[in-house]
Amino acid sequence: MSPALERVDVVVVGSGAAGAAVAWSLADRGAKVVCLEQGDWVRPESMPSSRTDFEVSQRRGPDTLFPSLRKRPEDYPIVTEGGLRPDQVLMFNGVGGTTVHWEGHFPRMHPSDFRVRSRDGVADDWPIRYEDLERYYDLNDRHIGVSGLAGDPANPPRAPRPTPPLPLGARGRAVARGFEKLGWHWWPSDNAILSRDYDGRKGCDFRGRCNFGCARRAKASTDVTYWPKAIRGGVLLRTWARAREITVDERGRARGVLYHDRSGRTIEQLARVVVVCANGIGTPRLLLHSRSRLFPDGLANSSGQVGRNYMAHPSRYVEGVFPERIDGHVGVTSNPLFSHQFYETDTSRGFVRGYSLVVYGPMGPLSQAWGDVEPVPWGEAHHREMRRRWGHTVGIAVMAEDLPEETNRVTLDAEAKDSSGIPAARVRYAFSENSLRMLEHGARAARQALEAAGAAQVRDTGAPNVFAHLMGTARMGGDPRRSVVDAWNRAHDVPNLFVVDGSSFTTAAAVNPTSTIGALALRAADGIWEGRRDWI
Amino acid sequence: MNRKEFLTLVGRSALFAAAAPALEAVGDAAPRPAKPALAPAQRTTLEALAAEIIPAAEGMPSAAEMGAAAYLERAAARDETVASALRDAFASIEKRTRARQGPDFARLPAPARVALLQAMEKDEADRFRAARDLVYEAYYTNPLVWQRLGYDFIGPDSSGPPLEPFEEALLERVRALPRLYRAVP
Repeated sequence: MSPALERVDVVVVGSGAAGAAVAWSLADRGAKVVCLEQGDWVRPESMPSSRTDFEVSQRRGPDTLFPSLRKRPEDYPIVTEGGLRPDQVLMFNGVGGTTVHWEGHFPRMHPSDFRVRSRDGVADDWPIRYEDLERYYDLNDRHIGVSGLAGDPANPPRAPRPTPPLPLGARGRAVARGFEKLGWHWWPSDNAILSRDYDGRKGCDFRGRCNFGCARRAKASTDVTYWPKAIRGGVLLRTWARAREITVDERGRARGVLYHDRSGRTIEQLARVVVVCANGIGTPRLLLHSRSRLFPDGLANSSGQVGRNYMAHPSRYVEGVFPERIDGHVGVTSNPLFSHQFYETDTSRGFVRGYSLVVYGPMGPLSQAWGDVEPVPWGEAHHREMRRRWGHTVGIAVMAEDLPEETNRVTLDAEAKDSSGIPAARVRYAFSENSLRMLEHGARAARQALEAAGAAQVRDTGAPNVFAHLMGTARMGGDPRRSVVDAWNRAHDVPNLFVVDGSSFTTAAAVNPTSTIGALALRAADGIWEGRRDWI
Repeated sequence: MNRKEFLTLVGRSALFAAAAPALEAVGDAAPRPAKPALAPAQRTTLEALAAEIIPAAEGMPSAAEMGAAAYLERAAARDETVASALRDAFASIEKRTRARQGPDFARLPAPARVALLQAMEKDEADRFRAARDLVYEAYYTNPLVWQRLGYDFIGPDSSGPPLEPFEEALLERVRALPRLYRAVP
């Protein structure tokens, strides 16, 4: 029998974009909240961006973004199949979750993204609308200190952004020139990166290397945004606490969370409400591992949908080399601007749904030499070609909406286990024909834009990749037979269990998910608080 | 002394090779391994390999001059994936050199070394790519190379370059576009 800790109001599993927001919101209103985080605090100064070998972390070592290559004690193994590679699954386990390593692009979904079935006849509608999330998007934006500009005709009107848009830099201006020439839509991006001092944090000073850690704390990882406030509000954040199982009582209600502490002890944290925010892979892994007499197929899984419909945002990358110097590595790592020219469905293009075009550049000299599209040749021609590309390269990534498919899924691996003996996650993912057609269209569009911008040479990877956003594996829906959680992120099968992260997405849209994850988390917290009389 | 001052100081020296050990310490605080990761013959092969992957040209030094072999030896001592990639490369190079019945790789004339590496690239693409990328890594994590290339690494105590604020006038055309998102009843 594992020791049980005193019952609290709410136990949250995971401290990333969702867990931090839920914990802050509930504690702010007086709930007693414990958060279990399997990793530790990470000082931004200790991250690779402060080191000269920062680019090596793209491929190996304890700071790489890919847990299967990183293999820290707090990571769990992820077995991939269906063509997915280990370096196509990205997450971070520590306070702040994957926001510690993200680039900070912060777009919102469009209204039509919530009505995919009724507008386009594919996938499913969400049980909520854009308008249901709008005020939570706004609230989350204020916590994050989003930089950007209201007034984009490709998105619904929104409140003035808390901080002004980030500079475009030479690379952004070059790409904007291409969009202008073609008469296409573009707009400065909403970014979770401060463009000026805000809420006790400093504005960005354009060091770059954002996803390798922001020592200035201008990038809004939740360890520097929500967590200081949540802890002041009384949340007990327990690090090195790896959730093993959600326990249930004889009535089938969640009783708490069984977890391992750093010394390997197994402890049960009792709670009136359990909120799982462990990301689109960690969440289904935990639910599937929480088997019991009442829930033999895993918790909240009467629909059989837990782990299914994994979506990751398929991508293609197209790169242009310009005659003039555009310093693609200067400024924020990703995305000073974006285009939603091809976002909404137009079936004459040969696919349903759409994609975003987002702007990137090489992170540094080593990334340039390794080549996002094609390496700089070795040998005699090396320096000549490096000089031609370095400082002259900018890329456009196509971010496509992948539709939910039951065969793209997360399961428990039969053999591999983490250091606590919990089965590894096995992730299967394959590109659909619709996704491949969309990427092909997007790659042509990106090429067109770069050529219009004046690129002397344009190269395309030619191969699909993924953005490694983790979505869809505990989907939201109105029908308990076809979904895992309801419109308030409450599990259909377990009334005091909530799933609040990318896994609850019904569909993926074609924008980065974190803004929507944060908004859903704040909304779910409202729902949990409003239902507190039922906590018992 | 901040990083920029340090780089300026070091950059005044034309003696790349002599400066390399000091620079390695900038990005690589790990202690030097007690036991060398490479045998002397392997180190010689690695230096020759580095010299051909990134030769001196266009005013830039070669990877060998910049201490690539020493960097990779330290990396191999710390990281088995590096050690394994180097072992694979050495095995391939040795096999191919032996097949030629000529001298060791390092003693081959440069055109013969290049031809051997081109054959390796063609026949064992993954193995070659891994070795090539490690030489690139050794070279392009070296601040002296950055200085020559015009890359200004902004360290934790420095600010990045000033950038012009966003100009809203650039959006004049886009602002006038009709609504692009679909309304949902």
